[in-house]
Amino acid sequence: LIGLITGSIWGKPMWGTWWVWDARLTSFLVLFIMYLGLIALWRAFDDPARAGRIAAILVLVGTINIPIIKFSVDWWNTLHQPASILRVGGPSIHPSMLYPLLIMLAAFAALFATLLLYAMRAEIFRRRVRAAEIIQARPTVIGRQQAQSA
Amino acid sequence: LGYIVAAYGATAIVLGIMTGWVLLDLSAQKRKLERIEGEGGRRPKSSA
Repeated sequence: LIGLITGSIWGKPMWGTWWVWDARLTSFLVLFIMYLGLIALWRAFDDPARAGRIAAILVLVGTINIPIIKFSVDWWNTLHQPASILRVGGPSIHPSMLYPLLIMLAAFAALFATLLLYAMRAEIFRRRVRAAEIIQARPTVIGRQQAQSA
Repeated sequence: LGYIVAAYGATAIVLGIMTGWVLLDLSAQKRKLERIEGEGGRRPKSSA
């Protein structure tokens, strides 16, 4: 989402447009929509194990989009510039921009790892809450069944 | 320079929302678990 928004803000003064339906931008938008679909799919099921299996299939299918995004600027004629970091002959970006970019790449990776750990902790607590609720509800259900059978 | 400030601003907003969401979710789940465990801990005492 940040890439789409900031890319669009950058595109207006550089390209003269907020958005073009070229291969790089469109494939990146598809990736974002896939992420939204993944979140929706995950929340659509009450059983985390079942949701996990189905979400894993979508993730595997979605992985196909990653090389498409990477090579879209080589395979199609796009307004987006060709690869400027991972390319034969080394990066074409000036060091004054390349190093800040790499530092920010590392910073975002660290932020992502931190948030992922916090989210995993929250998920562990959520599952413990679910298990505790089931345990708490069990005597009531058994008692109700006994009352019905009596 | 307007687009640079706008890009930084948009990034700060998105990161702020995402970080807040994760942290609030964590504290909510923690509170919920403490409440349930607290109720579970009191139950045997009150019934005994």
